[in-house]
Amino acid sequence: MQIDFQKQVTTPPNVLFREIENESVLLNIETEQYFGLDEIGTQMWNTLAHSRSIQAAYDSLFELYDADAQQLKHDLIELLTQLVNNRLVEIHDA
Amino acid sequence: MYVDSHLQRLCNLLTEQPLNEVLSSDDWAILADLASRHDLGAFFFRVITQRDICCLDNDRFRMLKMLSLRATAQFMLLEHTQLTITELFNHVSIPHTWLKGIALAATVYPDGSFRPMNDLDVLVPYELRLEALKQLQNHGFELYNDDSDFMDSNHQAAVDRWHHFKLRGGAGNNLFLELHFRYLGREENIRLSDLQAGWLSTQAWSYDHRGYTLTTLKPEAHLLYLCAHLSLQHGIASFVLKWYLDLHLLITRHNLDWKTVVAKAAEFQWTYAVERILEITVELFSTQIPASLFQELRNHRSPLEDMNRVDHLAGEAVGFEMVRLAYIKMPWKDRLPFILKTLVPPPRYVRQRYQIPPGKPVRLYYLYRWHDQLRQIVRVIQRRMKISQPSSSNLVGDNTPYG
Repeated sequence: MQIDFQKQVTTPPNVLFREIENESVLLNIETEQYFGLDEIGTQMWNTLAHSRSIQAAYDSLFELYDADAQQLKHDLIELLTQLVNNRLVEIHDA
Repeated sequence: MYVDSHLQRLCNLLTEQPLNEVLSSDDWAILADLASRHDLGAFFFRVITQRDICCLDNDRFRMLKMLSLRATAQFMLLEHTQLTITELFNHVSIPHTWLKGIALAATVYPDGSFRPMNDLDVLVPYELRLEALKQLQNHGFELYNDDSDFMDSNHQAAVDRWHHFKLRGGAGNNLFLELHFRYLGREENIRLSDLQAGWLSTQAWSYDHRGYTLTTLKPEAHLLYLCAHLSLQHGIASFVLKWYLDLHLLITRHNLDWKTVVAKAAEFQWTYAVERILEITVELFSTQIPASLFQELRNHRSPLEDMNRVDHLAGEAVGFEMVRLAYIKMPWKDRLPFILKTLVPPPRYVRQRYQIPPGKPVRLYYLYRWHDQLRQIVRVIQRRMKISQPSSSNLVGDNTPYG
């Protein structure tokens, strides 16, 4: 899946998010699809949800984790692909 | 009550009591399976990961993690539906009280998702029950036909007999809601008197949850109601560990006014119901209650208090006992139709009761039903022949929660 990093991630109104002890669950209340995020996934999600673009989230996460740039980009794309496929996030123009 | 060692260990773990022993990986596997069977897999998973005492094989650990995730998602659906109904009822000025699981999940559990539940329970005033039903139906809920109408083709008769409407709908359109218009029901003799219901209606207690102000019962009233619900409605034999965990946490999280509990238990003639249920709770979870509580309950017991129902529903064959108790309380003219409908309920009910897939004939399931009924009758006769003393020991340790 092609992800444009200049775009922004938003949560549809029918998706609920809940954090429990650093982990979290995203749930689409119409389809009942849910997705569990571990500690790092939750951090990624929180950063994506509060950034003006995917690129801005990527920059914040790169700084936070001091991770390998390619690996981080790959992980972020993989996470977003799964969330989009499960209709748990939408990607819009920033 | 007999509590086996694994059930005791599970109870200790869930209530963060020290284990004082090293468990083998086999023991952990048994505990994990036991927790899952009692619908407490998610709670168990959180406890072992928080305390970092996990000694489970990878498959079981993954299974518990999945259960935990699913429990959280299910709770989110229920909670979302609860808040939607609260908004709806507030908008049309229908006073309502959240009962049992959903209220306890938010007020006494470390996290709501640790408290598994299959449905929501909300109570509305009897005179507003049809308005509440209409509002819910307008918002997509549908009446779900279950036991409540198999005895009566006339729906009004079912309403008179029962204490709630069962509905399906809400988030995902697949959740169950019990719209109560009485606290206890099915049989007239366990319905609350005006005195009891009147007092409970003064016991509303508000709590804030996710930006909403919700109403449930004050802890003392909730405790009394839960004890009566367990011992008089479902019966002690229908052992569900989470119901006793509810009581343990309710007692532990609140500073209860025990004098009120004793006084109201005596007034409502529930002292034996409360005593039996709290005895089991203490045995399971070492719950701290006043040392004199049981004696106080006995001291305040009215000679008119009927203890038979609690005892009858504490033994085996609880289903048969419930039918028998309903039968002996009903007028003669209703007895034959009641027996016939119990023996030969409509095919629609049989299909639902035994979860028979569409297209599969129901005839064989009547044979199964009669066999099961006969087995229960034999068990009751055997028990009565064997046990002459009134207080019987109930083997509960390893029961599966949903019989």
